[in-house]
Amino acid sequence: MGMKTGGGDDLNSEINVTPLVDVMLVLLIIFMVTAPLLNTGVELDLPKVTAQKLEDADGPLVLSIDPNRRLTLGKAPVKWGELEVKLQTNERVKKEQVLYVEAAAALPYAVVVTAMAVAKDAGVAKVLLLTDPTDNLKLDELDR
Amino acid sequence: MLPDEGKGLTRIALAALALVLALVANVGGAAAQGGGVIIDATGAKRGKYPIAIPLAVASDGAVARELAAIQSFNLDVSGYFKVLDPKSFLADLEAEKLGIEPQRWKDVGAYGVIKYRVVTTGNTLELEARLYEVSKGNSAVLTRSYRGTKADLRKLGHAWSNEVVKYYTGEAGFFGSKLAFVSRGKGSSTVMAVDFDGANPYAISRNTSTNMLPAWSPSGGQIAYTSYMRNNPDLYVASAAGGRPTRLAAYRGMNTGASWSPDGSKLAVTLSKDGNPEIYVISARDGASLTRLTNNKAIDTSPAWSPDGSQIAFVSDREGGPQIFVVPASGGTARRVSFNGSYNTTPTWSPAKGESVIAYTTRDGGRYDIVTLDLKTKKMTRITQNEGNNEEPSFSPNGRAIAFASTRSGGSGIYIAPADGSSPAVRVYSGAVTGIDWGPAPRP
Repeated sequence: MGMKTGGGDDLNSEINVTPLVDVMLVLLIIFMVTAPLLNTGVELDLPKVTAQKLEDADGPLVLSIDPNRRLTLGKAPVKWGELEVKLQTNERVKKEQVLYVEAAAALPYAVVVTAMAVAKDAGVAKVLLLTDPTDNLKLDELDR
Repeated sequence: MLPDEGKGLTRIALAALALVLALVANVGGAAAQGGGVIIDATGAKRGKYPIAIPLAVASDGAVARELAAIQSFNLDVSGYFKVLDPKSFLADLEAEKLGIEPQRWKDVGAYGVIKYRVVTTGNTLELEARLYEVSKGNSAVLTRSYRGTKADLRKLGHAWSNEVVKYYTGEAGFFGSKLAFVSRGKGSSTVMAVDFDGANPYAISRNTSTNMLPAWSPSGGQIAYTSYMRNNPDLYVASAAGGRPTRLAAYRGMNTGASWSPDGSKLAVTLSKDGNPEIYVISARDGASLTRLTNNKAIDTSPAWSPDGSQIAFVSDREGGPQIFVVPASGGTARRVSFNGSYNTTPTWSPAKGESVIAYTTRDGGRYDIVTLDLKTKKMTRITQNEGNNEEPSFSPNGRAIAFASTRSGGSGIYIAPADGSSPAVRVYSGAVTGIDWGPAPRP
């Protein structure tokens, strides 16, 4: 009779945690890698083209940028240099946490992004871009 | 690494983030507006009413700035308002002058706007003030004109603030009232008075002895206090402007802790003429003893007359440690009202109409704190917690705020806080102080 080898057919009822830990570690690494990436760039909710109506008794607080890059907050002209303070101290922004941005179509992308970045720095949680609702997107023109 | 899974997860993370942001954005809802009284003074859970106080244009610059500061402090400390940061304002103040363009104030979250114009010519000061409710458009809901001397600036500012509070809550504010207190020095202590906001402090007692426990007469014209100026703790009454006092009570032993009856004809005091401190009612005219309210071997002290005149609260150690008792002002059986902890002193009544609320000092874990107790509902509210020692509360004339002496890390002095505990206390006077007594509302 030789030595008995192996465990025979006994069932092992314990949970094998090794794959579980593997998956968790991979997830952890992925989140560690992606977390810094999430903080760069400007987060924005792209407006739906068939946008819903804005239900707000006082009307939404809108930051408009005209083709000459002049800013209007609500109804008041503001300078780029004072925009952050105006937004930061604004009680409505603090309460509603949202700012609507209406930028002229001809403006360079960088100008719009700058405005949104300033809003983010001022603590605005959500920046929404306003669009002209339209049903026929002129995609052909973009291909030309 | 697994690039595809990574991208997928980033996308999921972004989606989750967008969801969180969307939820946050929906939290700030529109505030409801009711008719009649706009801010319910008794509503403990009310939100603060956002109000804008822009600097006046076409005015005397320095005076306008001081007036803006007075109004901002008043409305802030009233506990009803959130005074908005002027840096956020979008209105064209030069163009608006005394009017408003409502949308520009809506855009900064203001529900109310105060506009004013203040001009000085020689020694004359003229103040035009307007209150707007933004939701009611560009016509003022309250307009007042004031005229006085330059020295009246604070007084006029307080009068206007009272009107604003009255407009919103239906009851007058406490602006322009005064606090009496004791300033402790080395080897002496002085009875002083100061505006509720810490302006214009002045001495009531003018001797180098120990002076203590001031009490305003109901009319505000006199202050009773105890002084050792003739070596025995005797009770004196002086003009609220200060100066030479008249001695009202000089019984053997202590004559302390005076509290005026609401009609001003009598004073409840602690006298030890019969051996141990007992509560008596004496005449405010000549100090003659009228009624003895307590009679036992324990110490009875610190009487406080209820605003309706029917009851007197006091401190007694007849059941062990010091506790608050209430006795009918005409005499009778005292009943214990404080049952928290083992040490409760310095009771004071809220003057708020229709209420039966006292505030007192309680010892809790080696520290002294202020609590209020509703004698009808037995509801207790803490006004201070974990901030040094807080003692000797006194209610504002409308009962909506409490002044007390505190030794918190922000600095010792007199603090005032909303009586419902809804916001933190503000220091109005700094120094070593005791014996706070909030005087009556100023005459309009």
